Amino acid sequence: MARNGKRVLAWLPPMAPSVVLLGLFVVGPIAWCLYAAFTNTALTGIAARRPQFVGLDNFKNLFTSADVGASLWLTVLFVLGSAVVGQNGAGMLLAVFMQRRSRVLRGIVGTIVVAAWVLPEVVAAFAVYAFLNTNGTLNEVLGALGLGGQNWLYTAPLFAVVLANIWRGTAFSMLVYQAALSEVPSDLTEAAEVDGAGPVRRFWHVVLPVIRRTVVTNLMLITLQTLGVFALIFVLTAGGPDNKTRTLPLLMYEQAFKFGQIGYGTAIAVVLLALGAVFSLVYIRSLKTEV
Amino acid sequence: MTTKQAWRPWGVLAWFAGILFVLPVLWMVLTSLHSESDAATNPPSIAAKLTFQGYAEFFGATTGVSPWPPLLNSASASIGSTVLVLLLSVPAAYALSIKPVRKWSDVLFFFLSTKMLPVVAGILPIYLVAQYTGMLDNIWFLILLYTSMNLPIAVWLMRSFLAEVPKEMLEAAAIDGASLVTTLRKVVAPVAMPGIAATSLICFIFSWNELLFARVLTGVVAGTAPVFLTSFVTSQGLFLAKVCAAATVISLPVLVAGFTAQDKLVQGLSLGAVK
Repeated sequence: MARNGKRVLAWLPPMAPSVVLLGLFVVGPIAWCLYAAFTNTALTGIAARRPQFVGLDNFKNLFTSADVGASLWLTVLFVLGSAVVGQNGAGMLLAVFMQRRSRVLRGIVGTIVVAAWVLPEVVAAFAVYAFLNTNGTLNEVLGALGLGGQNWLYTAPLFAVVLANIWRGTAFSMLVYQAALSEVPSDLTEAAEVDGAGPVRRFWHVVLPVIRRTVVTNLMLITLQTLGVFALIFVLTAGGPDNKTRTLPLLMYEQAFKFGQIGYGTAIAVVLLALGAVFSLVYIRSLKTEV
Repeated sequence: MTTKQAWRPWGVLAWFAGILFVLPVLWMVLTSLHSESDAATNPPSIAAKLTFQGYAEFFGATTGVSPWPPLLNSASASIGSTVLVLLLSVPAAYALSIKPVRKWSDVLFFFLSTKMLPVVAGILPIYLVAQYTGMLDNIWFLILLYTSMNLPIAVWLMRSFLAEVPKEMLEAAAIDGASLVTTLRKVVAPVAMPGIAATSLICFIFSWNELLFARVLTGVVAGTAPVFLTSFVTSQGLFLAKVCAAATVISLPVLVAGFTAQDKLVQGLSLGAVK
């Protein structure tokens, strides 16, 4: 025990600065959110200097506000569409497509997908905007094919931001699955092949069960990542038109910085944190219950 | 290299997906090299004459705002925070991976769990702190912030890279009476260097791309390149060649960093995320 205590002491110098910094800039702010959500803190005015404790008022307003309900629903749709189905699915497919392919294909396609991932969100949003707007590439191509175009950012804004996030974020899932697939023992798949299982059945019944833990971990990471997406939507649609892409981070930004309602904004941040916790719980449970 | 070619149609699909993914980037780069009148045609004509006019106008600041200050701000914020991340995360990761104590997994979990929180949620208090301490529009505040935002992932990746250092080599060094510094320099660094380099590049990419905090916390003085680009797109949106040139210039550092780190990225993420 004493020995362990000594080792902990030896540990302090290397660990302390990191822990302090994380505490100050990451844990502290979030803890403060949990407190401020129960106050009427404002950006300016009297409530900025002397915030009052208002109990559950922010949450009462929040849950009776149609804005928040709509925003929460949009956020769930955005996460399901762009992360759970989109990035996860596309990443998995790409990893499977590229498995045991030539070095050239793996190198080129892999690099391309990673390029989309490292691009600044502003640039990605701009590129998607140029692709989808009224005079954008998609409409020109549709026009050339004799089909009528439309302003996709107005008619299908959620689709546009989902598409943008899939394009930008697939690389992470792809890299994770590539690594996972390379660890699947090849005698397993070969045995299934000898038994006459086609590529789809081999994947579904042999490969997928082996990499199940990776799938859940990946889903958790990209879900939490996607919950926090701000810049992409902000630049692409700014939450519009008619608030059809105003997810929780954008709503929070709007309430806090446009209307100065810090207390209310942090209450929205708490809802966002809770949503992340709900998703995480679902994923963790799915690991425990199955098989 | 290929032991056994997998199902052929899947390879075709992989190429197809690759083309889909690269189209927006190609569009951007091609348009940036066109004159404004050629850039107005969409999709960009491949036959159009190539010119660096868009870039010249972007750097020549024909719009009245020079892109240099934001680019330099981005460089200081990204490089500064990456150096700090390295200084902090290498010792922490070393302690975690080489000299684990009981409950060490708790500490690691603390690092990871902070990565699980959407950082967006912390923006309001951080803004208030910056306002209160007079650190708004100050690049140093951004450096500290990016450092703490990247620390969890850095410690996480670094730990997996340091874990590759063979235990026997460390023991041998200890028996020979090597000091900590010598051990780090002669034993740990050679094995872990590529991983450390990749981690730095990843941190650089994240800091360079960050928009939300930079937008909220900085103004005219400390504004970073992504913030600059946002307003550039709004004010110059009609001049496609110029905007594409700007977007290309701002993407270039992270693209280079991404390509360089790609192999280790796979390793780092797989070790970190999968196991």
